[in-house]
Order: sequence, then structure tokens, then C-alpha cells
Amino acid sequence: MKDIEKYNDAELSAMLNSDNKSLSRQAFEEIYNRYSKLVYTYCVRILRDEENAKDAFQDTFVKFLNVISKKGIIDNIKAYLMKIAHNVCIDRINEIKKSPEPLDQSIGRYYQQKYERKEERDIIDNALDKLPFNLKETLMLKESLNYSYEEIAEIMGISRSMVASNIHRAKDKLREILAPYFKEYTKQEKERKNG
Amino acid sequence: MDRLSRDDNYISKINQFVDGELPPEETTELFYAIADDPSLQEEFRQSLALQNMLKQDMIKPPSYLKDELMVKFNMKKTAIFGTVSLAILAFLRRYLMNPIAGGIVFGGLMLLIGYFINPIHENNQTKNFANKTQIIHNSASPVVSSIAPENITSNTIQKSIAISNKVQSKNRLEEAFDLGGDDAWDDYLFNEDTAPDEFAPMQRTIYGSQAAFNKSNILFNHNSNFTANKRNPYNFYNFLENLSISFNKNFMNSNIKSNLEPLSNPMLNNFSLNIAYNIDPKNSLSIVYGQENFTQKFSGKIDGDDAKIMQVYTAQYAGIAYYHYFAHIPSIYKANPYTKLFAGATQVGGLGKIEAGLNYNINEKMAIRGGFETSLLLYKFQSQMFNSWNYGFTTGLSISFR
Repeated sequence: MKDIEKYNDAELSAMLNSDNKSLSRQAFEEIYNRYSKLVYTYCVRILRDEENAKDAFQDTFVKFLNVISKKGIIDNIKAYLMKIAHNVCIDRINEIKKSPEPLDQSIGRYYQQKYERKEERDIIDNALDKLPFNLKETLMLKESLNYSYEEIAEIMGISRSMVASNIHRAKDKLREILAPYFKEYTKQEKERKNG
Repeated sequence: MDRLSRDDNYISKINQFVDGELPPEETTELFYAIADDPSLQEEFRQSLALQNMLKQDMIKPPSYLKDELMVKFNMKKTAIFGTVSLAILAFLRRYLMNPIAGGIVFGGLMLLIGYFINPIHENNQTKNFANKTQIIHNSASPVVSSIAPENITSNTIQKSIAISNKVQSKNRLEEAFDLGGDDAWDDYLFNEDTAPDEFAPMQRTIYGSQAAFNKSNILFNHNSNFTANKRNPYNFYNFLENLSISFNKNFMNSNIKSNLEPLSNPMLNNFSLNIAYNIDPKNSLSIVYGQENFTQKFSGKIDGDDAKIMQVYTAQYAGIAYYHYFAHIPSIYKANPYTKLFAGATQVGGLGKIEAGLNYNINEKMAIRGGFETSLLLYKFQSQMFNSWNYGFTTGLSISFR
């Protein structure tokens, strides 16, 4: 099936549940291609440890595949996968019973190398680490992973207005933390835009 | 609504607008408010700047995770072997970087090397030697004789003891030369006056250990066929005698020029630790753990965006190195050239090294060496293979346990 990328989440989940192994495999590959980066990025950013993130990532997909075999059709796989990832990561954090540690070097490499402005990246990461976990997670789902408020509400099991409030509070706190850096940053940004 | 809560309400709306979540009917109202209020204009600018700062790249999961999932759910049977192998390798890689686990694996490897090298060599050599010198083995009593088999009586076979110009039977290792049997016959054999000429008696010496015997025994020490692997590798002291440890420091340059400094601790940069098993005086195999900096450069598209990357990656590596030592330089008898080939892995890809230099033996236990080394790191990024190589001077200190 060449045009499998045209199918929506509900259709893909139905195909994944099909008895036709080939169809099921193609549906899985398509779902994986669409959402694996989102889930993996979330796991890495939340757990801040490469090995734990890999385990959580796999657990998420295993649970998803187990659920889909019972549930059949899922309309919004993107949100559903992230909801599972959220629960898996929360469980994992509770298991290790310690706050997430700084990203190890190998993870840092992936996103830091794109930015030649490494210092800036470090400042932002440190500022994000100072936020309460729920604010940081909400902000990350919105700004990094581009989930809508509705989807975040579903993932985190809170209301849409609470999502808006979390993001507002998170940005407020970030601005406070980043205040000394903010003016310098906006000035640099202007200079960059002006060439 | 006082000004503070009014502003807070608008700031919340600005955040929602920037996030693309503000309903259209509220957007118009927000724009009017921003147009009239310079402080809200500043908030708006800051909100956009903050959003820009928070943008981060997606991280692609390692490809083997997909294969593992597909195998787990029976979607990719043909990949079972490959995936399982990859998973085992990935698992091992994690633990091999741990010095304790790495040491255990190294120990196991050395035992395997010992198993394949030593007993076979020793048995074959003993057999060859026995054929040449007409050593006759007897199940009841070990016998070595220079008498042709056809001239040997059954009595001779049972009671005679060795003798072909100081050659002893290796079987005598098992018992400290107490042959048992008739003491009178022993007295006869070991009495120079009564022993037949062809039975030149040996001095009866009781050795405290096998190592002491080996040291004094001509069969093991003076025959060139026996210079290598002459000892039991499973004897702890013999095993230890063949081990050496060395610390190396490299002074490397990269083929990619940059002014970047590595993120890692400078004190630990470009160091390596070798634990070597000396197969013979000229060859050794070693497990190597080390850290080396490689400059990486990328210019192209990432997720549709132009990206230029330059970084210094600190690679922790582990692998196996083979050393070959050449003959001593005649004018500097303590120095000899050597060469090294290394194959190993880092967290991002394979690593190879070639080294050549001079080894100088300070004394029996210590040696220093220095030479030229090149390293090549092969790694994958954005589905493309890249390489980075270093070249420079290397120096090391080796301490052996012999």
C-alpha cells in the first residue's frame, strides 16, 4: 500500500488491528514514523536520561499496541500515545524516586549541535529545570512538541483552562528567571534579523 | 478590574495568541489593547522572543528500537536474529563501558585465549619431542628412554627412568619423581656405579612447585619450541605473569580545524588504559578503555532547516588492541620498535587506530613507549556516514606483573 501516509489515525489504528499481517505491519510503520520522534523527545526531555528514555519509549509503544488490540480504533493516536508516555514517565520517575538529572552528554549532543549558540541553550535548559514539574511538562508539550491545549488537557488529565493557566504561569516564571538574560537575547535577536 | 489583573488577563491572552490558541473573537480585542498600551507591546515582543527561545529540535529514536518492537509483536520475523544480536550488542556496550563488567569480560576473554593457545601447543610440542627422542609412555609408570622400543623389555618399560642427555619425561610433573615400585631397582638406577651406561642417572630433586620445576627444566627452558606458552594459563601466578597494564596519553590534532574546546574534563582528555595479555615476548592482546576528542562538522539540512554544526565530541571508547614488538635495536639493546592495531567502538560509531613507535624497557617490569598514532572515527548522522580523524604523538608507561 503506497499511499498509507494519507490515512488518518482512526483508519491506521483499524489497519493495525487487522488480521492481515502485512497491512498491520505497514500501519505500525506509518504510526511509528509519524509519532516516534514526538514520543522519544518527550521521554528524553522528561526523564533526562538516555537509557531510561529508551525504556520508557519502548514501554509506551508496547502499551499502545496492547491497548489498540483491545480498543480497536483510536481517533487521535498522537494524543493517545503521549498520554501513555506521560503515565509511563511519571511511573518511571516515581520508581527512580529522584528528580531528573541533567541530560547526559550523548543526548545533549543531538539538540545542542544544531545551535551554535550553545550557551543560550544551556541557560534555557537550566531555567526550565527550575520550573515545577507540571508547568515544565505543559510548556514542553506546547512549545517543543506543538500539542494543542485540548490535547495537553487530555494527556495530563486536566482542564483546558488549567493548561492555559499552567503555560501562563510557566512563562511568567521563565521570564523572571531569565530576566538578566532576556534583554541581551532580544538585542541579539534584533541584530541577527537585521543581518 | 484593576490595571494589574487587567494586564495579567491580557498577558495570558498574549500567551494564548502566540500559542495559536486564542479564539478569533478575542484576538481582535487583544490587538486593540496592544495598540493602545506600550507595556502590552513589550509583553507581546517578549512573549514572541520566549517562544522562539523555547523551540527545540525533535530527537530521533535509535532505529533498533523500532525493530525490537516489530519483533516483539511478531511483525518482522526475519529480523529476529539481527535484532536480538543488535540488542545484545547494545546491552553489552552499555555494560562494557563499566570498568568492573569490562574487567570480567576481559578475564573471560583471556581464559578463552589461554584455552585455545596453551594446552594445544604444549601437547603437540610434547608429542613431537617424544617422537624425536623415543619417549615411551606407559600407563603404569611414566618412562622416558633413549633405547629403541624393540630393545626394551617389559621390566625396563616399567622401571626405567629417563634418560637422554638430561631429558626428563613431562609426566614426572605429576609426582615429585617418586617412581614407586622396588626401592632396590631405584637404587640401582641412581647409582652411577651400577647403572647401565645408556641410563645416565639424573639427580633426584624435589621441586616445590610446578613453576620451580618449569624454571629448572631444560625441556621447557632451552628448547626454542617451548619458549611460548610454556605454562599452565589456569595457574593464577602464571596467568598474572603474562599480564601488564599501561597508561597512555595522546597529543592529537584533528583533520578538521576548529577553535572549539571539548566539554569534557581536560584532565581526562586523550587518555587510555590498556590491560594486556602477553601471548609471547613479541605479541600481546589488550583490552583498551579510553577517551579521545574528535572534531565533527556538518553542513546541510536538518528537518528542512539549514544547519551548520561544528563541535568537539568526546568519545569514550573500548576495544581490543594487538601489539607486535619487533627485534631489539642492536645499538640500543633495551629498545625495540613496535606497532599497534586497534579496533573498538564509541557511543556513536566505530573507532580504529594505528600506532607505531619505539618501546624502551626501563627494567624487567617497566617500559615506556612513544610513537605516532592515527585514529579514525566513523559515525552516522542524519542517515549519512561521516568520519573524523586525529593524528599525533602518543606516549605510555607499561607495568608488567612478571
